[in-house]
Amino acid sequence: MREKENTMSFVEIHNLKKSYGEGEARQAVLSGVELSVEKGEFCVLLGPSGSGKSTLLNIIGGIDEADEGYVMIDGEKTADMNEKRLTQYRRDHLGYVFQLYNLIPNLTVRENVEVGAYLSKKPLEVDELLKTLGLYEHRHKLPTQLSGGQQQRTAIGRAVIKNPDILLCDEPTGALDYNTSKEILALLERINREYGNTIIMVTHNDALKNMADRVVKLRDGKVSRNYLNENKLPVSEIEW
Amino acid sequence: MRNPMNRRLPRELKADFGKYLVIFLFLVMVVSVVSGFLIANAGIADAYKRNIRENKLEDGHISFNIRPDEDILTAVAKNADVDLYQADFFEEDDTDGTTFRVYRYNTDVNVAEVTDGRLPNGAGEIAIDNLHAHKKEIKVGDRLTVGGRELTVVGLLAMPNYSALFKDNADLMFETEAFGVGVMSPEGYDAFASDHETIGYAWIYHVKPDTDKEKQDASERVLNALREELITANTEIVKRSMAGETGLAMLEVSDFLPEYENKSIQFAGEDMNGDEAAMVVFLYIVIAVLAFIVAVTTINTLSKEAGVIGTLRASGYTRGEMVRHYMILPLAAFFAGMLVGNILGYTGLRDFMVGIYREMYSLGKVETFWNADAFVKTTLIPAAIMIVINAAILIWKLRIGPLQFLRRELSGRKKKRALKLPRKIPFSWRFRIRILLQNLPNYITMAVGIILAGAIIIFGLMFQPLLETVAQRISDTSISRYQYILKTPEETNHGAEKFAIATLETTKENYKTDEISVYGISPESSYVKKSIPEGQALLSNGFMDKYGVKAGDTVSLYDKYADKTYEFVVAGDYPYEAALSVFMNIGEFNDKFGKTPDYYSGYFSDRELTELTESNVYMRLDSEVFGHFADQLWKSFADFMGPVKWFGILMFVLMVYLLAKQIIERNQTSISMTKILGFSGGEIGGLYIVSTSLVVIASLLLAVPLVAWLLRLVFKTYLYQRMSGYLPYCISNDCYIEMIVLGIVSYLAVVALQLWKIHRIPKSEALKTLE
Repeated sequence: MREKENTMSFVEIHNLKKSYGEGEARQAVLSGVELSVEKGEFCVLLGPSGSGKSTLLNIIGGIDEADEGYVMIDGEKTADMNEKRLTQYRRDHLGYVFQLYNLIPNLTVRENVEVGAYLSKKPLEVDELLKTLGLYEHRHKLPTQLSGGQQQRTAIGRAVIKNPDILLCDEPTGALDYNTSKEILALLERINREYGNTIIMVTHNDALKNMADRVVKLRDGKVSRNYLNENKLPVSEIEW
Repeated sequence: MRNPMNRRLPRELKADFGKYLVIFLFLVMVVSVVSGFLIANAGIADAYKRNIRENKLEDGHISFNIRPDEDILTAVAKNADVDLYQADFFEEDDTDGTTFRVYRYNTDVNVAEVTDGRLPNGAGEIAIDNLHAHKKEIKVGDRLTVGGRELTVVGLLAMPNYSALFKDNADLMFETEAFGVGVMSPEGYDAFASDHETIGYAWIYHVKPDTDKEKQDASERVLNALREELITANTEIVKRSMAGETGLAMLEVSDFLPEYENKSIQFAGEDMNGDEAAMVVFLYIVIAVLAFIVAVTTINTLSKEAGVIGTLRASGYTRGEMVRHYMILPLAAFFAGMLVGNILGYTGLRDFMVGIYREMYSLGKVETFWNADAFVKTTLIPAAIMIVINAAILIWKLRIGPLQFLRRELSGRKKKRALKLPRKIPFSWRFRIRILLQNLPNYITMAVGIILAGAIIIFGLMFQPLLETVAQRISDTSISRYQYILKTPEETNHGAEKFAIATLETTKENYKTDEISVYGISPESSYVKKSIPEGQALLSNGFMDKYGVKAGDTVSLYDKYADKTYEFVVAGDYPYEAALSVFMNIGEFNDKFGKTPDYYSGYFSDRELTELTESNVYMRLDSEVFGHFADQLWKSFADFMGPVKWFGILMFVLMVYLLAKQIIERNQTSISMTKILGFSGGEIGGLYIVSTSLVVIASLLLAVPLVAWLLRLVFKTYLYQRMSGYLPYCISNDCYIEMIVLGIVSYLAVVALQLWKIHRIPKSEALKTLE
């Protein structure tokens, strides 16, 4: 295990602070987070409920704002971007996967994936990706005709098809059973390996630290640990 | 790459077909009526103007008791700079009492346009006005008995000087059945040799006056020239009579009427102009309400798809892309409705509207045409209203970030705490209150729409009882059974009471000019039963109401012929509904108008004054004439008001259906869950439908005072300014009752549809994932 290095990274987070609520009810969620993630890394953000993992992910994704500090991606601070630029930034560089799949119910699997492709100037080949995702046979089905795992794979497909620089995953297996979860995580692992995207994944499942290049543990709004995992294991070998 | 989101559109259209169908039908209904009306109006106005332009309409006419010498006519024509054309006519009744005014056909002035058949050639042939023929079901080839002689109708006509069939210019309303005009060939006319012939001439200016003032000056030139020649001619006749010559008659003018004062010519044109603005305003209000309804349904869709929107926004979809996506279908339904509405407007509805006008006015061939003005008013402006309202609401709703959508915090405000409801309120009522609170925007839009639909229904219902009331009030407040207005004073006795009368005009800014009858009332009148304070005047109640005059005010009235303004201090009102009038003491009247102290110009009488010289009676008014006015007014309204009422009802049903449907759909999962819990369909309906029913009933009840207020406002600020004369503002209570009953009955149909919808929601709905 190596502690965090002091070089210029793809994702740089400095003294990030965020509170919710007003007056006496105001509660700090992030209290000065410092973090760097390198290009192509699979970063797992761990921590108990309320530790600020999702808030940190949302600020990285530009869908929430920090009170203090900044997020810099590839040398550009998100806080300096206006709404329009932020949207363009998300469009060009980010992919999102949530615990709830949020698929469009009246579009087929293929069309849902195309919704992501539409945003990209150089999207991946849809059918190829569907095959990678194991959804090719189901491409003409509507989301209601799919299992939870298939729906989440479709959501991942929608995020990945535009070949984003960073894939942000917020508890992507939170609503899935053990086997399906493993299947989804293996998929993310494969995407990271094949397409070289940086993946930042929020989870409360401590066992998943073993699949990460970088492990970041949050506690009470601060990074309690941040290290490179030198004994990275494939998901198939991880049990929980 | 085409936006894959667009592939949702046909599926969404299919899934929510009812909603889009309602939007479509709504638009078809409104746009077809309004565009049909505007196109018909433009076509009718064009036919009216063309008839005037192409068929040598007179600039005025004069009638004489005897035929004047040619040199008199030549002198008048020369001095007034006009051409004078012979325009003789006779009047004879047919067997059922219709008075026919028959002209000798000519091609110099007031040329009759043949609409069917041909012009008469010889004796025994006549061509008559097409409107009268239509009303009396007279066809080409029919035979008429006029003045005891049989004539064959060989053609139907439109005469430019009779677009509205006023028998007399002093009549309040035209008469399409008891009065008709026609032409005969010169030979046929002479061969008929009627005993009731009027020697007439029509004039046309060499240089057409343009402004009102120029028209008035020009007609005064004719009158002055005529007056001069009459004095000269009659002085000569007196001289010759005094010299012992016999058989000489004085030349007298029995009628002098410039075109701009001729109701037969002016009435139709003025009437057409009035309706258009009202119709367009009505369209815009309905479109604005529809735009809000559409926006409410879209907001519900946003709330249903919050997670998807959040994800798409987080992935980089712009707010503009989302706004466009959610606007496409409602706008597509909107534009399809507009297109079909315009097509219907240009075809069936146009002919229907032309038909309504044709029931009132006699016009030649009416050709409707594509009308850029109508297109802008019925299509472009409503489209702009729809787009602006919906885009504004969508942009506002989508202003929140992706995270709020993902968290389903759509209001954009911090989460409020739930409103505490006292436990004393039974559970079912607390449930209903929660539904009311949850769907407040829907219910507010529904209430506004119901009130507007209520106003339309009341508008469609109110005129018949209103006009009945008017007729009754006119009869109840009549001063006497008969009023005689004389050309020159003529004595009579037998209970008749003298009065003097002058006609002045109102000059209030923004109001259409009203003619005001100023009466000089004899002291201690037995007909006008209220005493008139010295130096002051009483105003008829309609005058007070229409112009908002109070006791103590001073009103100014204008004499357009003398270019003089008179002022009257108002002592109070006098109940008289037949005409807008001022009542003052006759002594003060004569003083004010520069008359001799014993001057009078008419009689009030409860019996018919048959002893008066018929030719000296300028006008005889009786309560029948006024009653007839209200009757004729209703006839011209009736064709229009029936559809207005049904339009209001349809609007009510479509709108309530659309919004109620949204509420059920929004709560689909909860309804499914209550089914799983064991609630019956009826019980669920009791929870969800009762809330909507309460809003519908409360809105209908609230509509009563609001519609009363709104229509009073329309009367005071719109109708009273745009129409001459007076219609009291009174809506029969029966109209309100009928509106509420119609509302509730039509709502029952919506309830049935809602129950059916609840019945169709599967229990599995609640077990679905949160997609």
